[in-house]
Amino acid sequence: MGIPWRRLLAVSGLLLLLTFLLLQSRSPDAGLRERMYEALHVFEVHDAELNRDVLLARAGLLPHYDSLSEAMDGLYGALYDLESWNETASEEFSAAISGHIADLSHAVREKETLLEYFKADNALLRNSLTYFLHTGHLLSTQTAVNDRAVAAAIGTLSNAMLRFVRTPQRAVSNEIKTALNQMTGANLLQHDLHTLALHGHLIVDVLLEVDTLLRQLLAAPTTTRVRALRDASLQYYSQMEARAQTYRILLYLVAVVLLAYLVYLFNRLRANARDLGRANANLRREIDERTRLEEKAREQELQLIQANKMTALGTLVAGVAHEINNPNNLTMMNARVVAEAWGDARHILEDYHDDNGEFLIGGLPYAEMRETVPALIRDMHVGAQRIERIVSNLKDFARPRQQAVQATLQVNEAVQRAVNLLRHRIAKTINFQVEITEGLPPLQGDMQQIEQVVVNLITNALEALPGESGQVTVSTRYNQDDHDVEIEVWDTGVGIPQENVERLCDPFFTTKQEQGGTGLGLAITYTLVRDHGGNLAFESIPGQGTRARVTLPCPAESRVSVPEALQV
Amino acid sequence: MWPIRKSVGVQIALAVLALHLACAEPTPHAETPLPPAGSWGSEPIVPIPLTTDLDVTQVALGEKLFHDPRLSRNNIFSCATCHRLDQGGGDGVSRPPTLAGGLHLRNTPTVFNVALNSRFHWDGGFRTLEAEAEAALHDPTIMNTDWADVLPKLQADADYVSAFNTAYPGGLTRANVLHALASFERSLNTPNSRFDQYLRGDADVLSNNEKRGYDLFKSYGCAACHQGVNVGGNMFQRFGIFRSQTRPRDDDDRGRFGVTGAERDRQVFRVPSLRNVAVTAPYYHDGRVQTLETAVDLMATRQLGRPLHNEEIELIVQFLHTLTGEYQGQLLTLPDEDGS
Repeated sequence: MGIPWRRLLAVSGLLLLLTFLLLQSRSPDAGLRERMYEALHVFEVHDAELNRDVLLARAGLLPHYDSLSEAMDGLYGALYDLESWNETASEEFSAAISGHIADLSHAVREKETLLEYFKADNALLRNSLTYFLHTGHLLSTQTAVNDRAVAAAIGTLSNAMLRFVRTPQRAVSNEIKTALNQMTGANLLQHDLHTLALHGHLIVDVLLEVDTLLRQLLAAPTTTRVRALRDASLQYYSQMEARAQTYRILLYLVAVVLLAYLVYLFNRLRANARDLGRANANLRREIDERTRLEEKAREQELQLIQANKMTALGTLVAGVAHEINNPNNLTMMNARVVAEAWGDARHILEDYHDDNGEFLIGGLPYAEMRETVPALIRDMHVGAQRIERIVSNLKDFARPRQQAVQATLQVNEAVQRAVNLLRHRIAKTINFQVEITEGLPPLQGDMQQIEQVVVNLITNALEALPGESGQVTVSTRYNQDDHDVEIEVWDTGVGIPQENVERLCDPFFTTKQEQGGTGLGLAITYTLVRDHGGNLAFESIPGQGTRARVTLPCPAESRVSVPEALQV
Repeated sequence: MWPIRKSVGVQIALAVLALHLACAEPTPHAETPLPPAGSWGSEPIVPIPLTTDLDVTQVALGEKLFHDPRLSRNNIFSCATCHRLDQGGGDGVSRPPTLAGGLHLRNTPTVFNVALNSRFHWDGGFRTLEAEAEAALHDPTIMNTDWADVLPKLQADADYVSAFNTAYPGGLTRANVLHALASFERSLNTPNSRFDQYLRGDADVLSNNEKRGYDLFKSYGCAACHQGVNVGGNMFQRFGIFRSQTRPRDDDDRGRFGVTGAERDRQVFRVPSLRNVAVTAPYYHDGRVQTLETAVDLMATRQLGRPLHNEEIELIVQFLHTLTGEYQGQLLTLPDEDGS
């Protein structure tokens, strides 16, 4: 399973978008705006101070102009703050207010020019007014004796000047100018009058100029420029705030989408995990099943090998048995003849012995031989009989594999017949139990052969018992899973060592050589069971007992009905 | 979902905070009060503050620069070449010679109390000391140099580099060189003149004649222009309001017109400070007048339209002598005749 690039890309993309929106949704920097408003406020305060001090100066109430310079410095300082702030501000904002700042700067410079003119003219005006009043008073008092006309003229002039200073009017200024021109008569005071006239003209000219400058100063557009600047920034910030709000809504929507996508992915993950768990369980079941089948196959293979071994042995044994049987028959027959011959010859030999005394026969003295020969003949006979039995067993073992009888048989019946057959031997055993399960399905096969199988197994069980205290149990049952019938013979005898268990069914393998065992009983039993398509297995624990289990398959047609029969 | 909520929450918090501050804080810039009604509250002249709050290391650095000829091309002039602190902050000549062998257009104004002027140069061409200093460096008739010449010379001097690193976060830069120079200039105030002592309440420090001179100075209109802490230096005025009886000297100095280009500013000059006027001869923008008496006489005639008697001139001159202040605790004096 590779890395899910597409999903990773989608989530990363959404996160990037979120970050972008988060950045965009920030409110415009309030600190910058505050700084700007602060500078504008400082500006307005200094502007107001300037206007106030200009009025004071015009009224002659301002002793010096330092405060005007300071106010002007204040305006420039605030302007400098605004301009340097504007350089650090964002491009958009700068574009929105740069023009207004330039306008304000221009207004400040214009106002400064007006102010400098005002200061210069106001100084002239104040000087001339001082001179005019001082000299006018001096002249009118000193000349009163000498020249009444001059004194009167100066009085008129002073009066007109007073009116003019109070309310500057064109008519009054003309009146003053006329009076000043008339004064330039000719007398001793020529020089003083001339100077007075100069100052008088200057007052009339400069006072109007000063008042014009004053009005221009007070009407200077600094206030309107500040307001325009503030409005522009307010508008900009409103727009920014509105935009930030929009981005905030987008941010919310994208966050919701991201959340939904994550929930979707999480659910998919959970579903996948569930599927995986289920597939895992199935796989494990499959593996178990396969292991079981393999074990079964191996078992069947072993059985097949065993069967082949048996077949080969059977063929060999059948040939050998046949070849042995004929000479053995001769031996048996001849032994009988020799025994009869010895019986007949003995009387003659007795007589001869009686007559002639001792003599040798077969290299031994007759008296000894008389007793030995019958035993030798008997041994011959017994040996031949033993060979005959072995050959007979070998014939049973190696008989051609075709069922003599293929009939329906009941396993329980076969067991019962075998038990009956062995009644006399069973009677010696205290504990012998038969546990038959009723209603077993019928099998196809040879009743006699099955009976022989049971007889052989019970015989072996009885022989395994150490004394008369053991227990043998024969039971039958039906295995629904494998659909077969099981015959079990279980004894509490001496048991079989593990290494011998596997060889039990091999021909000529016997642990009862001394008791005359041929090692063919279980081999034959195995062959019979196999001929019925069944199996023979042993379990044994040495010292505790052995369990022999025969399983015989049920024919296919009986399978369905069997469980029902068992249920009844 | 949370970013929205958080953002709104922060906004509300900020708004509440701002409202709270707005209510709690007094209006930051309350209107400045009217001039205090102290002993000099209604006087046209204000005493110089006795102290300054300057950074002493920056001032010391500026002093070194002020006397350093490396601030000029070929290391010929320093600021102190013309602004001699032992010569009343000027050079004692009408117009100093230029490199080219001619004379400068105008008289060297004193560097003492320079920071108390609202504008710099006779035509008021500069608003700040830094701008003035930089212009002087570039002026081909003064220092005739540029930063590409000056800065490497200063940077080659390890003493300067370490001194600047001590005095300024940015070290040796153009702006800091200018700031150090301006700091030194701001330290060149001359407080505690006898007249300032008089303003501060010591009525006996002036003689009767000096007081009478001051009264004339005020009543004859001198104080209309020469006012404020620097007794001038804070406004402009046309030179020659009233025609003199004698024919005026040919004068091709256009004055402030050279700066503003306004017709009204022809022959307009900055009103000079009268602080230390007794030790800063010669007088006027072109140094045409050598004595105070002549200067006062001409001013009265040409500017005030009021010819003065000799006694009046003498009284005013006596008053003007009381404006001489102290630099580093020493009263400013002129060097001996034979010494200069």
